[in-house]
Amino acid sequence: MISVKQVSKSFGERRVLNQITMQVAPGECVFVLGKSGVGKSVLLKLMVGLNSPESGEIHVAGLKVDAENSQTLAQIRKKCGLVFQFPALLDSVSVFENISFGIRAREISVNPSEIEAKVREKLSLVGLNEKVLGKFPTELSFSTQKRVSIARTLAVEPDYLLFDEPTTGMDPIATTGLNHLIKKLSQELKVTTVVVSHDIKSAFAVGDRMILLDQGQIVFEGSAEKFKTSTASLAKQFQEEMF
Amino acid sequence: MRKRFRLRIHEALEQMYFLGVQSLPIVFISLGFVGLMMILELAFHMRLVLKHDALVPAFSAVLMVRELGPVITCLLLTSRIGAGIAAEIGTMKVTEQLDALKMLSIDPFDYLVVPRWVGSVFAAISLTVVAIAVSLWGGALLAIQKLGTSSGEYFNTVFFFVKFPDVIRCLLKAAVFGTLIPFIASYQGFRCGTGSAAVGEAATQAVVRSSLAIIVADFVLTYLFYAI
Ligand SMILES: Nc1ncnc2c1ncn2[C@@H]1O[C@H](COP(=O)(O)OP(=O)(O)OP(=O)(O)O)[C@@H](O)[C@H]1O
Ligand SMILES: [Mg+2]
Repeated sequence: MISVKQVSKSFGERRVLNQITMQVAPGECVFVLGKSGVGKSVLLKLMVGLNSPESGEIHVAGLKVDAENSQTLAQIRKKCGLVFQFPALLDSVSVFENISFGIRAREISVNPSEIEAKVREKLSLVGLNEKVLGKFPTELSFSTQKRVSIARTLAVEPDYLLFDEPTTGMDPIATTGLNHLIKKLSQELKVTTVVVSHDIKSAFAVGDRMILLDQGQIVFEGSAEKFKTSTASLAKQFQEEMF
Repeated sequence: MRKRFRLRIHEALEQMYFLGVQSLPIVFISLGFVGLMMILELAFHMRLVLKHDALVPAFSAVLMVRELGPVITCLLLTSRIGAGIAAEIGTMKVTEQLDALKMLSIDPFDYLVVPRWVGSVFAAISLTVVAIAVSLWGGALLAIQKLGTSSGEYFNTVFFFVKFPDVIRCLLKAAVFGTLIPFIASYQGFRCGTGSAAVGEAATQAVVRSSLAIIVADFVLTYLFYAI
């Protein structure tokens, strides 16, 4: 369970998030939609304490996210996986190292052949060929890097998965594959998932529930069916993109 | 309370190689010439004041071990590795690699700072030893050529004046300087702002501040070792 209570965040004069309240139930997949610069990435980072809210509270799995409390924060992060908007792969080590790092650090497995099997499994989940394992991140295209970063996050087997624009910059086939994967993880493994994006098609494909952000506030919240008939002006603009 | 840091052996070895072994040529050449320069300078001054130059090798060796050996070596080391460490960590911050490490439950301090610390202390100590050896050797060549000292005489006076505690203090200095460089440089990297200009600024500041820190620390240590 992720619960965000009346959270506000400003950068300088500009208030990016204004009194946001939302919840994500265990096993649910919530899709947060919003235009560029509305604060979607900031919202995800707040959930794992990479940013601190100026007011309000966030709880993940019953633990309060508090940048001051490093022990609780470490506990929370251990349950979470965050796929960054920009891949953020460690550029001094190979793709294999990137994916296996978290497995070792979180002691999910210490057996080298088991680790290798896990790395290969996650790589095939994101539709990548084993040839990339020995390459360095800078040798890969953006969308391949992004997929590696998704594999890296899946490799730590988190209970909470946070995706920052997982499909941006990917071809339609990869996008569909990824949407299936996200849906499957939340349905079969009961992973609690938050996806932020402006990709309305993916929202319909994977979201159990949709939240629409505009000017720091939630202007719509509900099912995909409800979204189609919403009269909020931004919702209408997004609907036009879709149909 | 934070847990005790973890040493990553593989990363530490890599840093020892990169920071230490790869800095050998620059230290070799620079300190060789410093050794030569000192013999010439001291000979000039001693002839002027004392009217003879028998103590030149001893004085240059003492000065080398007590001050110039560790200081010049570590200043060279700073310019070679300080900027690199700050730029590397700064770039990792800008590209969110540091956040990614945190999300994988890897402590950036353990992963980045500790191996560089080990590597840098190793480099500082071993390069200082090499530097002093090279400068003594260079000094010996010149003293034999120019001052007519024999090699036996040269090393006799050197070992008479340079005492064992001087050597220990010299290595201690190197260890302190070798600690200052990665900590100051990493600090600059971790607090790097956004954008490539900020990375450049972090790198520059790392070199400027660790050079300053080395010079100030050298004074403090010399004071503690020899003036109290
Ligand atoms: N570290 C920061 N310092 C200053 N301003 C920031 C910082 N991070 C985000 N912002 C500002 O907060 C606002 C929201 O940023 P955010 O990255 O969350 O947008 P977004 O909704 O993810 O947009 P996009 O779809 O383009 O990724 C932006 O105006 C951005 O300039
Ligand atoms: Mg974003």
